[in-house]
Amino acid sequence: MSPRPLAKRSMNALNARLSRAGAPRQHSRPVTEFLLRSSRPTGLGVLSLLAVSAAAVALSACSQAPQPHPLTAAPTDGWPTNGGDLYNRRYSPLTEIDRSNVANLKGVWRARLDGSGIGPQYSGEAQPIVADGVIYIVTGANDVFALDVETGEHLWDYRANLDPEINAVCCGWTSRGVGLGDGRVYAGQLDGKLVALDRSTGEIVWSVQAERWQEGYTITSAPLYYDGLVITGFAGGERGIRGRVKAYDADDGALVWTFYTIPGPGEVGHETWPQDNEIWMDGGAPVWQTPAIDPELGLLYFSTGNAAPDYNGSVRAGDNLFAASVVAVDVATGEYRWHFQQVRHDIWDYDSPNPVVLFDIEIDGVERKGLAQAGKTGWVYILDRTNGEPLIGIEDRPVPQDPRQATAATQPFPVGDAFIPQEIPIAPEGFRPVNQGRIFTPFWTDEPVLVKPGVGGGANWPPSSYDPNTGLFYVCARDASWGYIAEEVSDERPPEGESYIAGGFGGFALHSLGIFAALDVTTNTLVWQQHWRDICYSGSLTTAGGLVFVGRSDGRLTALDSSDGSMLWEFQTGAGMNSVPSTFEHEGRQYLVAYSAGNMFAGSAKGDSVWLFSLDGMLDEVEPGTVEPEPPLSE
Amino acid sequence: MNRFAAYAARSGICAALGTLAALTAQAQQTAPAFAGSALVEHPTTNWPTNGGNLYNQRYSPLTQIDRDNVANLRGVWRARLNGSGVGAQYSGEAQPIVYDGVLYIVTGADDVFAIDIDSGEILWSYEANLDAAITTICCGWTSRGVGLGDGRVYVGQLDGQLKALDQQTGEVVWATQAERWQDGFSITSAPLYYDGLVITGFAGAEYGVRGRVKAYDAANGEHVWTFYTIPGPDHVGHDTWPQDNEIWMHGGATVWQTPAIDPELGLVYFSTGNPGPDFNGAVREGDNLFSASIVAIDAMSGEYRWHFQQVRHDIWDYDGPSPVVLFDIEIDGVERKGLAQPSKTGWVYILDRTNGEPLIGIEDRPVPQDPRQATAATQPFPIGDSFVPQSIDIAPEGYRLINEGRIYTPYWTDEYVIAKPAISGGANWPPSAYDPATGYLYVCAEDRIGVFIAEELSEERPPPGELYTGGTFGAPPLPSLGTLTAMDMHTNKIAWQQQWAEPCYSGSAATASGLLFVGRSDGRLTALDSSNGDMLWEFQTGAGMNAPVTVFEHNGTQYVAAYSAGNLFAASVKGDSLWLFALDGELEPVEAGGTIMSFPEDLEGEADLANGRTVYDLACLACHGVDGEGGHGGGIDIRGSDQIGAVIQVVHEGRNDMPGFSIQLTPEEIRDVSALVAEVLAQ
Repeated sequence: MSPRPLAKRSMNALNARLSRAGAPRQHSRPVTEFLLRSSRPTGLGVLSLLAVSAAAVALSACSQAPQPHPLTAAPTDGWPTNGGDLYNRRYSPLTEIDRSNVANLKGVWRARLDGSGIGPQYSGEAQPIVADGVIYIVTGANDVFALDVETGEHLWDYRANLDPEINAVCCGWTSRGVGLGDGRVYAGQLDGKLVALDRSTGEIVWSVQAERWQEGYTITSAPLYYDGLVITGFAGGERGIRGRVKAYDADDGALVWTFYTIPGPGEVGHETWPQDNEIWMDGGAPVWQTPAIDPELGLLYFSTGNAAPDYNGSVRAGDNLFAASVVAVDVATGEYRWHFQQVRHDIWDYDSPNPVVLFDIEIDGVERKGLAQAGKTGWVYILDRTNGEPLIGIEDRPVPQDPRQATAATQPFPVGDAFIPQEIPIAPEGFRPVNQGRIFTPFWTDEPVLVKPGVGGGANWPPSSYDPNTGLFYVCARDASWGYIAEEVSDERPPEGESYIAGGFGGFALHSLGIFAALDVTTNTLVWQQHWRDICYSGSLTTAGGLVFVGRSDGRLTALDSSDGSMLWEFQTGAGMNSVPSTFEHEGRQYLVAYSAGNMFAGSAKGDSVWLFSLDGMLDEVEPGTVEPEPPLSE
Repeated sequence: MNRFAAYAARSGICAALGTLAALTAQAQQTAPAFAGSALVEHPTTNWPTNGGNLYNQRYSPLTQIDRDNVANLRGVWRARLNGSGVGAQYSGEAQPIVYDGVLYIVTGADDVFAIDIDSGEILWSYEANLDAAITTICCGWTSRGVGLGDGRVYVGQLDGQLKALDQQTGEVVWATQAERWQDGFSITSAPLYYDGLVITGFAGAEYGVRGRVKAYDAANGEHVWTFYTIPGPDHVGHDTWPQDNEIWMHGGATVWQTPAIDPELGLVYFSTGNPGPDFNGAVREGDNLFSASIVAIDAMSGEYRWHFQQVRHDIWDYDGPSPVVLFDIEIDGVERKGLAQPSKTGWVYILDRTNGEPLIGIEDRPVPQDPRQATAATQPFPIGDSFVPQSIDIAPEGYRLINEGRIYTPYWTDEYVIAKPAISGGANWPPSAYDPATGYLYVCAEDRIGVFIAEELSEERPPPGELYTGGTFGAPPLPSLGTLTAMDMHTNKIAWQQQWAEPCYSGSAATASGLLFVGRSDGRLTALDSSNGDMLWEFQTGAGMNAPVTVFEHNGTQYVAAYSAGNLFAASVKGDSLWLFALDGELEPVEAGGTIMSFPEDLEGEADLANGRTVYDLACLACHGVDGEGGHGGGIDIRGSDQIGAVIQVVHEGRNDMPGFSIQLTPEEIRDVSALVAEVLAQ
């Protein structure tokens, strides 16, 4: 734990203290008020605000019947937080658009974002945020736009003007969304800054240098607003960083807490790193997706990235906690609560960038508090979120060993089905078949070893969605193999901010295919699954209308029947549809909003469009965009 | 007229050179009337018959080029074949024949060239001048080689003619209309010279033909015998066809590869094609002999000896176009006379060639039934390994997975059903090489999802020469892959195997020095270590390398000859090159062929629908059928494609497994054919 800054007392700090003191955290404000609060009047002082906040908290604490946190309810009149709700379910209860009429869905308007994010290095992966008739979107250039739902007009824009010298971006210049709350829009930037923008004007209210890109840190995920805190993780698992999640005061950007995903001396898990070197200080385990929160339990959940150096485990003997793990921390204090490691001593870059999803479901007659996370490994890890224990069952099994890599003796194998193939029945030309290319096959410096899945997954960042009515979990993934080879590396600490992976990867011997799958979280088995010609690189949204919306790299946004995957609607947006759409109701109409901007890793056509769809839209689909010739190689 | 002189005159080459070359040609030895036993020997100074020897082993005992030095292999010369076979409809699948310093090659246009090994000069050429109106070619305009013997070169043509050319001059000695293309017959395989006979089969199982193999007198083209692959009344096997209709007279079972011969046993061996109509078995209840079978007949009389049916009552187009290979092998201490045939099913069928009994073991197993298709109750499952996957793990989007997409999953008219392998295999026409030292058979194959649907069909006899498939199929929903596999003929198990990102569509030749030569659709010719598949050499030839190579010795130097011409079905770049390689060659690899042109935005002029029809028939019909309904080559039904812009884009760039035609067609041709599709076929 980092020392808590004491310089400023704010609402969240106060709340945090109250929470720690045992006061039940309740939230009585309606979500609309909660979101609508305009930016703080300039004349209002900290003290008066503190008084107001304290009063609100006191009111909350006094109310008798516990109310669920408004952000845990599935969203209707907006899309207030990155995952739709704090559970990251990306589920909408709206039913105006359903299986019977989705074929009529057409564009209402198409807004262009002034060319922001069009360029070889950019990827458009952001999920639109919607509140009170305004859509907030962030481009791969970290520019933020506020659009009027009625007209598609720009209400304001914020230009990040990122330093083009930034060289710490591993995987395309991107941002997966903004946060919203307390009258502000929160954006995490690739240069390590976290900024709060006035949601009415787009002006910067505060800005902090959360971490420095020069040291390898970037922010690619959407900041998460929760009860006066702005919470963000940092990418950089390939740059010799020590992973962390930080919470800031939404009022002024003051740091409230830090959780290090690699524990320091004396902390739980530190013993899983060598005690005779300092690799743990550069051991990766970054958090590059938006966490989930259970307000009732007061826990924040996230999954962590790979251990570093990625491909050479010899310098970091041990399990390397909390790399490739699901971790729960106290949301108010950032204190460790529990963890579940998905891959011990990872040497395959099998990290877990897919956002964790929380769900409540009855299993064997008992209401359970579940958590699901789709790994690059190709499994969904389903846990009891109260304690981190497997909910369905996860078995330890012996795996092939290579002492040079200090491989872990066993790995966790979830009971149920993998959602992608985890072996290579026929070795591609140029590769010797080793252990049938099965998952967890070790490798060393002498020859590339082909393994499935590869560094891209399995499931990558594209978010999964969850339908609470059916218990179905929708996973967007790739079916691809990868050739792994390690490089010798010393156990000295790496130079600051430089690439720290100690190996090569590649071997694009065969086509990478896509997988879109529905799994039953009560059994972790496949209900339906489909193979695509292209990788699934977008994520999904599901609705009570029996639909799951998923984008395609070829530019199509599609609607599938969520019960069997049949395609019911497709619409060419003109650029790679590599992000998740949001849905909401406005003035009695259900809308779907999608950011169509293309993706560097998907090799898809770039664009700068936000599309709004409804059943009474008039705009037809457009011609596909022009694809750049060669997608880049690594991930 | 001397063909070379004709060429020289057209080409403006001076008469003196022409005379010199002609004189050189006349100094060459002509091929004798080979004794059968002479053609069983492994070839050294020549490559006198399509399969290298009569066993179709495509094996060379030469060792000058070996694993240690093959990396030094370079081009000696590259001969261009006057642009013959360069065009959207053609495929270059021919294996070069070599005799006494002269190489004989046939292009997809059925033009034959004689080339001097020493200089790479064309000694003579024969131009088939095929009728552009031929419409009964299912699978690309191609010829897989010529025959040689008794001083003549034998060529089978797509128009059904069989011709004997003077080996020294290329002049036609005799020609016979063996069958008529108007009736659905074409010749795509190399004729086989044996003991004064010229033997050939005929393609056409998608056009309502009755399969047959014919033998002609090499001296004058007189017909000697005919073996019908579908037996007539009172012959063995006729009872496997309905007795109350005449479908058997159109039941396919074609022979479209070059047979093998065991002179000692006096038997000709070949495998047969699918029954017709391909995808509707309702009108042909029964096993449908001798379709999808290996058949042995008497070489002198054409009389039936034995058969082994690989697929009973086939409804998946699982025929056996890869040439049969004969081999003698010791199994369990006993010398056996073996025969192997790698099929579209993905299995190698290994038989005792004396009697047609399984040599390793083939089990009958029950398979899923659909009475509407009159499916066979059981199918033969060879013991050992299959060389391609025969099931589908995960359903591709848009398809329901039935019976895990396993081989022999039935289907009907109501729904597209997916299964592996596809109608194209498994192993298709690309020949397999056999190494007698190791007992390995090298199989070049495709790993592709088949998409099947039947169409209702009457029991009336089909009109002559018209497409008769009784169904269509959809485009493979996922990319098609290739496999190259070394199968051990002692056990029918995989010795080594590799997956390619594209189908293997070339075939192979093996040498005693541990090399396996195999071509790639991207234009590379490669040499692999035949013991493990490691790549030892690769050379870009400039066009799709979709034919097997020939290995021979000439004046003390070992050479490799390769025809690099591209392929319609492999979607590879077309060319007209014959490459000769040796260790002391000096020519370096060339750039990969093909320049993708952008489609002009301001193309002027009205579309010419008549020209569009011509282009369609040549380039599109094989896959998409006569009127866009879907054809034999895997093309989908395009009768709903009425958006001209979208059609132009697909024709230009390709989609899914369909190649783009921007290299092969002019913008005007693309405009015209797209207009035909959008404005005529879609109506």
